[in-house]
Amino acid sequence: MDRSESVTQAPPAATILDGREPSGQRPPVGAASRVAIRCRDVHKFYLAGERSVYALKGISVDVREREFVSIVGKSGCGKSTLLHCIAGLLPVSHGDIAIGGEQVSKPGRRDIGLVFQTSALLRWRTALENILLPAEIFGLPRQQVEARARQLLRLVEMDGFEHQYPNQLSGGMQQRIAIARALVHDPSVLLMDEPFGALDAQTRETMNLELMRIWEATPKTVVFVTHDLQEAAFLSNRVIVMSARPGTIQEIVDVPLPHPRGRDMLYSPEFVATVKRLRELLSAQREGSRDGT
Amino acid sequence: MAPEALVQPSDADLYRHFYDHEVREQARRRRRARIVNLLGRSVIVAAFLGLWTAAAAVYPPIIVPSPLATWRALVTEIGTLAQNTPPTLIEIVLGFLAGSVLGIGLGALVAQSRWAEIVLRPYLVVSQAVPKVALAPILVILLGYGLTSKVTLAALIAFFPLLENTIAGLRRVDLDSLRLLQSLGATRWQIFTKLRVFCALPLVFAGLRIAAVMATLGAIVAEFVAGNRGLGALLVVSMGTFSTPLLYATMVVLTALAFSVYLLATWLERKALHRYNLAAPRA
Repeated sequence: MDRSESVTQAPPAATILDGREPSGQRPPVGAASRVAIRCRDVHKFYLAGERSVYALKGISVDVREREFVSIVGKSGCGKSTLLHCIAGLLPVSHGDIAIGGEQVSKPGRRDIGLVFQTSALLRWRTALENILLPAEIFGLPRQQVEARARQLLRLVEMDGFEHQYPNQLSGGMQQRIAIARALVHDPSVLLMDEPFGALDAQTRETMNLELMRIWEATPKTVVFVTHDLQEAAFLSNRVIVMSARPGTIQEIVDVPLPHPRGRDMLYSPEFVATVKRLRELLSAQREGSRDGT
Repeated sequence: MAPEALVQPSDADLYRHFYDHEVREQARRRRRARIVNLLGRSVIVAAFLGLWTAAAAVYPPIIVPSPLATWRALVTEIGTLAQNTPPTLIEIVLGFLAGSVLGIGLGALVAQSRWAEIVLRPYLVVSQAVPKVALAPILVILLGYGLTSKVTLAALIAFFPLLENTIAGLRRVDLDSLRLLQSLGATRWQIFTKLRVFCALPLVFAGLRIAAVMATLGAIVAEFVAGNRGLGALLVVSMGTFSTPLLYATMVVLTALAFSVYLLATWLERKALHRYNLAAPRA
């Protein structure tokens, strides 16, 4: 909010879809000054069988337009709960969440795209048909959307696979399709809940690079939940560190890395320092908060 | 490769050699497996026919006719058998269709509401336990000796496995996919048509396969009781007139009929599951 990042230039209004950097200018990066997601004093309390869980306690945070924000924390710190509340999948117990100035009350907003840990692709639909699913639910005109879906396939480098079924694709490929599906209705906000958590280390690193490339090409407001600190540092403009029981924001860490970000960045002193800082913050938390979700 | 040449085989040669060898080995293993399977199956058929012949030698032909006598009856009585097959076949097909439509339809309705399922559950369980075959006399008294009573019993017996499987299938959704659709704000109807129906398909088709066989059973039992026409009635008549070879021949025809219906259902199942990429285990 007050900490200003290197906002160099406003991104072009038109969304770039071909995945290539516009020639002669650096890709649009960093956040605009307008607030995309506003959380004000959000509390979430629920009963899970015998247990009562104070999952979120007084969360207040703003995410600016076209900003990439990660949420990290140990298991059970409420990071996924917060994301689900932002998506409207869970009602909050107190406080409010607004996206684009509009209060979140129920799921199904067209300005949100969601990616989960599992790709949740429907196995009786081809890759292309899976990408078109949100458009069908929203009742968008099929022809325009199909053209866009094909562009997205190219963006996630899955062109040629549009008629493959999910079980014919690897885990990483399935997540690429899931990302394309989340983008098909051109949402302004992308919410990602540990999208690469189920992938092996190499695939995960590739997917991080890919996601960065995609984001630099089509900057969206992204909220990205992960427990991988390197992933968070590499991708984000800011990292929200949460502590558990009850889930609160411990600190928000700025990531001073420039764009475009590539593999080299992983060895830069700024990157290493950011990961170290995040690790220190997490290990400073009480050990007592380490148990299941 | 002459031995005196002493040329080192290249990698490509080695690859070729191992590849050809493995292909030959694989083909040999497959051939052997096919022969062994065929042999095993033939032994069972031979044993069956042997036991039957032995039994026919021990008992008088009026109690156990030999396989040969059964075959002769099948040939000489082909007219009677052919005459009695269409009614039974019609009952099976109509019963199967009616039972399937009702079972799937009602199952889909019940699965729409948790409440409906909870309220109906005990009755569904009890109705499962009712020996449906025992309803044959009641149905014949109620609906007469015509087609209706037989189709009704066939339908009733086919109905229950489908009801059960449809409800279970529609409930058995992939939770991640459900969450995805909910996150998109999908309506109940959209979740039904885009997700639940497909998740239910494998179980519904398994139900159809069972229902096909059950419909055959229902039709035959109803014909036992009504006893005026059809292969089931022919069984009763043959028994009454001690035409045991005809009895056995009728049994053969009935088995062939039931088996064809089963094959048809299996074929349909394979087609549909293949069409929707549901045949392989879930990825």
